[in-house]
Amino acid sequence: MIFVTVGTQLPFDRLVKAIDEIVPSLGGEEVICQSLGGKYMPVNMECRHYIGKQEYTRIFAEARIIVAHAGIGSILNAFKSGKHIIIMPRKASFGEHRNDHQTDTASALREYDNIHVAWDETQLSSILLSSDFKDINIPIRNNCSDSICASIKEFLLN
Amino acid sequence: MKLLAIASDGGHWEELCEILNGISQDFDICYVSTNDNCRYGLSKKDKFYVVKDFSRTSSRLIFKSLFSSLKIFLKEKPDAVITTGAAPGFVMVLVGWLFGKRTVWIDSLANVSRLSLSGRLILPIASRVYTQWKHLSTPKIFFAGTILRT
Repeated sequence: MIFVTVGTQLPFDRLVKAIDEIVPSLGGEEVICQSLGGKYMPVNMECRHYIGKQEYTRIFAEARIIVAHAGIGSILNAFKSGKHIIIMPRKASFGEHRNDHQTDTASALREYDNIHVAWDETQLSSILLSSDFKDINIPIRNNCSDSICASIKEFLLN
Repeated sequence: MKLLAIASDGGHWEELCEILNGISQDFDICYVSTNDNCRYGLSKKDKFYVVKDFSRTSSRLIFKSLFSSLKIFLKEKPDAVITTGAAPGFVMVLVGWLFGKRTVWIDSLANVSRLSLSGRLILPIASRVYTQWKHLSTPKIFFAGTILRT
């Protein structure tokens, strides 16, 4: 199962449309899509506006791969659940976000084994269809680094 | 020590929860977010409030946000405020500052090239501002690691 998510703030029609067009090539694999009610109406898959956190966590755990905007929530959940994630940054020039920080986020995190950056729809299709993403063991990273927690705790208590 | 922890739904909330997991045993925490769904993962006895989300594109809502944040602050009387943003966190830090309380802003991991707009605006007001990227640290912007354990 492939889980497609655009996050909780803004729709991302370009991503949803790109996946909708790839679905016929996926050999019948289930696609669950969370699209925040964008204007684009998919023809090859169903999309849900918002998925509650409990169900979101379950879907994440069951997914073979995640496809998402380059949002930290999605990326963090991929790290926490040891999943591969293909991220496509939103572009401000398309009205997809207020600025281009997602491009910077994607560039900064692309070196992690489970982060795959698609800079456009063509790359998204290429990456998604090129691998089953089953061959690389991704460690589960949870809990933030001790140093930031220690620093915050120390600052608040002293 | 009573801590008011606030973040917008989504990545900001996820980052806040990561940090709180590492410090919660030392604090009595009251939680605030922009979506009731964020209650998931909290225990029944945890205090949780919802405020309306807004951003620079709906900035006229800042006054509504200020009012609801004040209501929560006056009810809970926290000793400190911690937030990972975004705009609702900015407003709560402002309220905390007005009441002379310690406030901590942790800028999102998403902001790699520069501090977020809210982070830059809150810098003169928050007691401490953290970035999660070493290259963005300055004498005023602290770096002490990230929410990603590497």
